[in-house]
This record gives sequence, C-alpha cells and structure tokens, in this order.
Amino acid sequence: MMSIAPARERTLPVLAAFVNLFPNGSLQRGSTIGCIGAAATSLALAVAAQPSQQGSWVSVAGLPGLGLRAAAECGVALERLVAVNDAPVCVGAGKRFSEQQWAELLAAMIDGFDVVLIGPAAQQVRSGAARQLQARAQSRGAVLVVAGTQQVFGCDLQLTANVVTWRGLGSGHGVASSRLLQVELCGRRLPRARRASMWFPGHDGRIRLETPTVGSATGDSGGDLVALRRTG
Amino acid sequence: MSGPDERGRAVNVPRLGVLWCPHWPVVVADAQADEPVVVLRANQVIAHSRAAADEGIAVGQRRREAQGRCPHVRIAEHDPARERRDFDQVVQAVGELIPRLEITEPGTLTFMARGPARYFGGEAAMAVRMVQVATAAVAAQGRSLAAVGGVGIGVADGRFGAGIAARRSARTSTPVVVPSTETAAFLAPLSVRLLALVAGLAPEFVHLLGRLGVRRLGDLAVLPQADVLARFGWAGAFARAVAMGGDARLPGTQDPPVGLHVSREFVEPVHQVDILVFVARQLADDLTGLLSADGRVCTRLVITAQTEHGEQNERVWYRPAGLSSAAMVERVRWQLDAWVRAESITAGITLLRLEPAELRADNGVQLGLWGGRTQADDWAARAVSRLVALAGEQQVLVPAAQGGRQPHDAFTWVPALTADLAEPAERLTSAPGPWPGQLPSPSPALVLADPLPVVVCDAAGGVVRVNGRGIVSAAPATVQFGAGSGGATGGPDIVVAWAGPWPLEERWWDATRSRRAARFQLLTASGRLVLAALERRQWWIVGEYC
Repeated sequence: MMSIAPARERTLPVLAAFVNLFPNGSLQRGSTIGCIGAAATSLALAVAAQPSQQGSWVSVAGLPGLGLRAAAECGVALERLVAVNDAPVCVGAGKRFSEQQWAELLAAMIDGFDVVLIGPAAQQVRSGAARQLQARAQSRGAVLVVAGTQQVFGCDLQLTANVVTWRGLGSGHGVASSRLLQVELCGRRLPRARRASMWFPGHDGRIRLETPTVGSATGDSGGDLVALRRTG
Repeated sequence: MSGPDERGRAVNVPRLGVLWCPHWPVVVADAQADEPVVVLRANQVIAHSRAAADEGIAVGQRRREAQGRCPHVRIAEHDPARERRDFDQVVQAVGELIPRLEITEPGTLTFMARGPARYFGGEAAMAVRMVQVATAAVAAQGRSLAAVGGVGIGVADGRFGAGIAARRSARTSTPVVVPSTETAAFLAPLSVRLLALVAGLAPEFVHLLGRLGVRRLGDLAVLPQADVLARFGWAGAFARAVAMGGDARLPGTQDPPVGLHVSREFVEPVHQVDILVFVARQLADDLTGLLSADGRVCTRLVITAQTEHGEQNERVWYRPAGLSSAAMVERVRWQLDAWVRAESITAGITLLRLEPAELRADNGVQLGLWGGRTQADDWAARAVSRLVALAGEQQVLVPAAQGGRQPHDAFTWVPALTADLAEPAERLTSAPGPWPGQLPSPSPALVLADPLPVVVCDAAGGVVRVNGRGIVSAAPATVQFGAGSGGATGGPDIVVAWAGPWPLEERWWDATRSRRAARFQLLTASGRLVLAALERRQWWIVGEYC
C-alpha cells in the first residue's frame, strides 16, 4: 500500500528505530508529542536526536537536571542545544518564572528553534496559553516535545515507555548496560495504538528495535501499518 | 594605501617580525626530544614532532595513516584552551621587550620590527635576543622545544614574507632577516603552495595556479596586475601582492578613525572574570553595532584591561574573517583567564577597553549550501538573544565540556551570551581524560546537582554502610525515597538488583574540596534505576536513568 509522504519541509526526521512507529515515518512539524512512562526523559531526547543531528536546533525549557552525557549518547548534537531554566545554575540570584513568563519564553523558543523540549517546570502555563503556544508551533513549524506528565498540553501523539528489563545488572556485580523498552504510541489520528519493543540503548550504545516487526495493539502483526489519512 | 605599485616596488610596506613556535600543540603535549608525538583534531594530524616527521608523518594525515607510518607514535588530544593559556606566558615574556604584540594563533606572534630593532642595535641582534627570551619562557614551564626543533624568527617586509622567513628560521635554527628591499627576490623561487599554508588562501585556488603553470611565487609576481585581477578576482590580486613582497593585508582593509574605541570604567574594582565578560559583551555589541552601521567589520582588535594598582594587560587579536561580537567576547575571556592564571595581577580591574585596530568592508557571509552556517543557526542565534532579554543572562544556557568523573561533571552549562554559538568546537572539546572511575554509558538522563537524601537499608533493616576498604556491610534491600523525589513516598521500594560500590576519591590533597564517596546503581521493584552515592554516612540519589 502506498502513502504519499508529506513534503520534507513539513516534517522532521526520526531515528531509524522510530521510523515504523511514527505515522509516515517522520515528525509532523507543528505537532505536539508527549513522552510519559518510566523512560520519559530518554524518550524525549531520542525524539529530538535525529532532527538535531540534521541541523535543527533543540531548546529545553524547565528541565534543569538534564544529563548532558545522556543527551549526547541519545544522539542530540550538543552544539545545537540551548536550555532555559529558572533554577539558579550559575552564580547570582536565581529566579522563578511566573506562568506568564514561561508562556513568553516558550513562544520565543517556538519562533527560533525546530524542536522545543518542555520539562515539568515549564508546564505551569495556563491551558489557554498552552493552546496559543500549540497554534504558534503549527504556524512556525516547530515540534513540541513534552516530557513527563502532561496536564495542559494536548498531545497529538503520546509515547509511553515502560521499562521491561535492564541488562547487565546483577546483585552486587555488573553495571547497567542495556535496557529493553516497551514503547507504545497512541494519538488522535491513530486508529489503534502501535507498539514496539526496542533496546534503548542496546549493548552497543545504539537505539534499535528488538525485532524488526511492529505489531498493533490488537495483535495482528501484518505489514499494513500505514495510517489512513483524511484527504481532500 | 600600502602594497606594491604597478611596477612591483613595495610602497610603504611595514617591516614585520614573526616569532613562530612550530607545532606548538606538540610542545604543549610535553613532547620529549626524539619522541614521536602527533596531535589530532577531528582525526587529522594538525601538529607533529620532529621524530614523527622523520617517520613520514605529515600534517593532514589521518590517525590510521599516521599510526601505519609509525606504530609507536604517541597520540595527544588537541586542547585549544591549554595551548592558548600556555602560549600566553611566551607572549608575556616577549611582551617585556616589545610592545603591541599581535597573537595570530597560539604559536605565532607578529610585531612591528622597526622600533625594537633600533633599541636592540639591529634586526639580527633583536632576533637573537627574542629567541633566547621565548626559549627561556618555554623552559620555565618545564617544557622543551627540542622535539620540534626550536623557535623560528623571521623579519621581512610584510606579514607573508616575515611568516615564511620565520618558518625557514625554525628549520635552520638561525634567525632569518630578509633585507628591506629583497623580500620579493627572497620569495620568488618559493612554491605557490605557501600561499595556502602561510597566507591562508583557499587550497583550490593554489591548486588552480599550479595547473595553469604558475608554480613559483616569482611566476605570479611578473603577471600584470589587471590580468590577475580579471582572471582570479580579489584572491588573485591579493596573492600577487603578497608574492611581490607587499603587505599581506586583505583588500579593502582600512585604518579606523583615530580615537574609535569603547570602554567601561568601574568605580568598584571587579574581581570576577564572569562579570567582566558580561560587560565585554555589552561593549562588543556596541562596537559591532557602530561598525556595522557603516558596513564595516573589525579584523584586528586591541583589548586592554587595567587594575586598580595600575597594572595593564594589552593584547592584539587578529582574525582575517572579521571578529563578531561573540568572537570578541571569547577573546576577552581568553585574555583575562590567562592574566588571572599567571597570578601577576594584584588588584581588581577598573578599566576594560576594546579598540579596533584594523577594519574591513563587511562583505557578508554567504550561507553554505552544505554544512557551514545555515539559516537555522541564524534563527537560533536571534532566538537566544531574545530569550536572554526575556529571562536574564544567567538563565539561558548552552552546554560546555568540562571533564570529570561524576555524571554532572562531564559537561556543564554556561551562559549562552558568553559562548560563540557559531564556533562550538572549542566549547565542546572536553579536557582529555582519562577520568578513572567514570561510569560507562548509558548515563543517567536526569542528574541532580542538589542530590536527594534517601535511606538504603539491608534485609535486616539496618542502613547499608561501606568501610574504608570498599566492602559493603550487607546487600541493599530497600530504598526509602523521601518526599519530593518523585517516587512513592509511602513504604520503602524493594531493590531487585544492584551493583557497586564504585569508590570515588577526588582531590584528596585539598582538605576543603576533597570528597570520598561510594556509588551504587540500584534497580527497584517499581522499575526505577537510580544512581546513588554514599558519602559521609548519608545516602543520596545523584541521578536517575529515566
């Protein structure tokens, strides 16, 4: 079955492990993607990784504890990463941003960066402001990635990551080296939830599918995974 | 306007001296005499010692190629910050003799030769004295120039001639002084490839010259200026001018109006470099704004800082591509860092001044079709300045490599305003390890700068301890997360797998900053994997793999 892929200007690329999971194998510009579950932060970084490697800038709002080594391991290009935090990181008086300030900051980020990663601290905007921000993202072509529980941002796609197992860790020996994740994608435009289990990362540090096939939630594991889209 | 006239006579070309420490990165890497050492950047050799050159290693080779020629070669990592810092000591030593040195790059100094030559009784005498001073300054750092052959010094008309004379001098270990009118004759028999190596012209252009049969600088110099300009454009005209012994100034450069500078005086002396860097940012923005209003860009900048006690530090910085505001700020930071590290400063800083010394018409930067600067980069730079206006300069951050054993040590956040977003390589080149005790990847996605206190108990309910020899008292069985750590705050979480302890002992020589900790990975029944540390009998969560 064929689908007409959207023009490349309207999409951002995703990692190879996500190609079969995402509709059209890419991120739709202007969409909002939520990441929840036990590996939400890594998942959000992995969503941002491929656009970042291909020249897009990634900004992070309200996630002061982001591990930069982990970001680099997920594939985020650190030279195109900018963060805004309200916690005092450097010397000097730190300040807490109000709801209004976060809304203004997020709007400025949407204007300037292709991917905006929204952490828990930056989600304190009012729901009206959140809708305005999402409309702005649609007109500017930015992708919002919301890490952690979502209260105000309505997500087009929701990724849920549950850790199945950690490999390499024993009782008193070894070191955690690879993790098997069960990733579930559901969303407004998706008739059925899609699932994939992937090594995140595998023993070689890469993110890859455990098995190349992806099954839908109802259990039929056919190759017909292209979502139907409304046309005309 | 300086430069050769139509008949080829050099008109008003300044006598310049160039002091060249060949393969400076190798010297900084503590190369011993007869030791083959190479320094790599992006997997390519950028500097090598003499012993390595004898084995057939050359600049531009790949790592594997270099190792193939000489399997026992020592490979050192490129550390631009250290190279610049350590070269500053040479600059200081030479600066005692000669005012207004210009640092072209770490390892290369350019200066006006006429005044000092008169003072020391001739150019040759001055050159000998400077080599002694520079060699002594390197030796004072406990390093030896024997591995690269020694300092070269050349005096000639114009920057290009002096640069080549310095290179020849480094090879022959004697100062090379080209008499005032003979620079063109000195250059004529040399290969045009030097235009790429020394004058910084594009290799493609030099290759094209070679294919057209122009192999020597003399061949280029005899061509009519109009024809060269018509065939090769400004690059050709520039190449012909330097081949004739003219001044190696890019076309279109001009002297700034007298008295053009921006400065800030501080009523309260400032002791922190960070504050000065922020002030420098404002000054640099003012200066570039002033210049860009006329469509000009600064290619040579004099940065001056004065202390309360009247000590003065002045450096000249040169960048042929033009100094953007961010590039100026970085140079202020380098200069002040080096000054503070040298510990020759006794008081707070009361004056900071930026003064352009050479301007050029800003012909803009063409956005690259592949690689290079893209439109996304421009938008991002604009967005960063808007964010800073909204949030404050301490709140908008970019990553910078730092190096360290702990997850939060390897990279740190620096204010985006003080970083050059267009040139991230130096910011993200980490200090070369090894960092023994660093945990292997994957790294925790959340690292807590302020760790959360927890209680880790064994099966019997006692708190788990680690003794001085790194032996665990009992296997961890439960973790009691405190409030605010995101986990269930009710009962303790059961540990299903764990590893450790990985001891960490840092800065044991420093009583106030030393720390001893034992780190563990704990996997709980609820599926959380945390990195915990036991320090001073208290358990902390320092990171979470989430």
